[in-house]
Amino acid sequence: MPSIEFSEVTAFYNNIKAKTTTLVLEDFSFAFKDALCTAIIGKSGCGKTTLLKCIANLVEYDGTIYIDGVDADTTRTKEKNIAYVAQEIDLLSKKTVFDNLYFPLEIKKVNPFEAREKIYEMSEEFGVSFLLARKVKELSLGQQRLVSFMRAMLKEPSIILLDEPTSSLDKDTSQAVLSTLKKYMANKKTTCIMVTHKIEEATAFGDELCVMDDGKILVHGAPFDVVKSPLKKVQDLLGKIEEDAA
Amino acid sequence: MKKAYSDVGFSVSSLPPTRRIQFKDQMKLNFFLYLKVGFILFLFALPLIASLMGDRLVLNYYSNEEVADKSGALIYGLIFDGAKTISLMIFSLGLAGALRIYRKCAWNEPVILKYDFFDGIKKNCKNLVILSLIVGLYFLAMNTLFNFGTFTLKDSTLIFVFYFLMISLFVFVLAPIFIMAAMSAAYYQNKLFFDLKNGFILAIKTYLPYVTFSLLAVAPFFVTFIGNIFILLAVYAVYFVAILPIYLLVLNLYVLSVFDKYVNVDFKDYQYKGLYHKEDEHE
Repeated sequence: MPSIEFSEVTAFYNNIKAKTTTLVLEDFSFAFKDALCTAIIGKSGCGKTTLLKCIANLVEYDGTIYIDGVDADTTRTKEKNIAYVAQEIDLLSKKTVFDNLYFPLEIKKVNPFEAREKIYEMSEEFGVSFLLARKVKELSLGQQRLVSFMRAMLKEPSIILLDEPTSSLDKDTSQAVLSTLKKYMANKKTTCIMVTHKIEEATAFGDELCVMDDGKILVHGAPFDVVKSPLKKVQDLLGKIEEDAA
Repeated sequence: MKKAYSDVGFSVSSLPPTRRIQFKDQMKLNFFLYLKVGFILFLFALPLIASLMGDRLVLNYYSNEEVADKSGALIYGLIFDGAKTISLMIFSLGLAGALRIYRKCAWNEPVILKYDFFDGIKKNCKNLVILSLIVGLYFLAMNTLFNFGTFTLKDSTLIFVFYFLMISLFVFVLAPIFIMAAMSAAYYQNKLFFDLKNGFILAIKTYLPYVTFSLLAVAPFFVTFIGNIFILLAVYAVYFVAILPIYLLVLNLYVLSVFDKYVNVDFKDYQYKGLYHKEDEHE
């Protein structure tokens, strides 16, 4: 499993209209363990999504991110083989599930019959083969989210970045979607970093839990240990997050 | 703004329970795909349309009373009937590809139009080309005898009776068997003889619907009475692009319901494939 290390990373957003700069991460240094899945929890605006976007090279940043000891900036995104699943579902709702899964492979010029086999195989594993010929708009949000994951996993990424993967899903659907995904990732030995604001989900899904606040990691470790952390600031923050979630 | 998701989602039980309901579902789900298939079929039908129209032009010319020597009609008729046979075989290639698409849709399988169409040609073409050759030769023989008869016999009543009988034999006996055999070729990998035998048995069992289907199938070949060549072309374009794809969908789903009832009883994996069938849950 690939390791990810941030070294003095600074990331900010420029608002050209208002001529302002918002600093999100400042001299951020952190090494993610080779865990199967690391969950990052924190309040809105604390820099969780920016952190993911830095790894995926979707925002500009200063400093260095090492993936498997190699400067991520020197390797092309394609070679890094990272999949980023955004918070919003960005499927083509009027197309079929199959079309949505097939298009990225078609762009990559994968042989159509191989691509179809790959999609069939994955849909069997996810238990959704009967959905392939249906239009995305016929699916529930949970099913659409699952299709988004499948689309990301079809790239066979070594790292998958999940940004609030279960937002707008109910508890049961969230659990079902995440457990299917986790089982699949365990088989493929994919490293996953998941950003969430649901403590229950972070502890259930993450092998490692990081609590983030104001662009910094406050505490990290095994989920159970982190949740029971004696640090008052962590407890206050977790309490606040739980309150907001409720 | 219309919601881009469903509140209840889509489960296996959301699949249509019958082929009749599946027709409505397919019209909603794949209407534009069928139109695309229709357009491709139109392209494959162009040689056929050209020979039908050429035949019409020759007929128009020789029906003019000012043309004294009518023997040319016989030769040109023969040429165009030969061309019709060849172009029917070309059209059967398109049909072979199209039937693959219909099969996939009916079985709730995803379609990659470009590849599945060619895959269909590859897999279904042999039996369909032979069937179209038989049909082409049948009409070639019938028309040649008719033209020769009207040219040589003084009383043409007998030849009109012969023509009528041949057409009736085709529409009421041969076409239902051939349609069923063609569909059988698209769904099962059989030898042509087996498909024809299947077609014969199933056409007898469900005779009336098949006569209707065969009447509809041959209908466009009898609109050549339209004298204006441009109107004729427009009629063919509408038929192949818009009517034929829907006709093929109805035919496919009907034939599948017949297969489900009589053939797929022995092939459980295919029976009710693409439908929600309650018994499946208990198995």
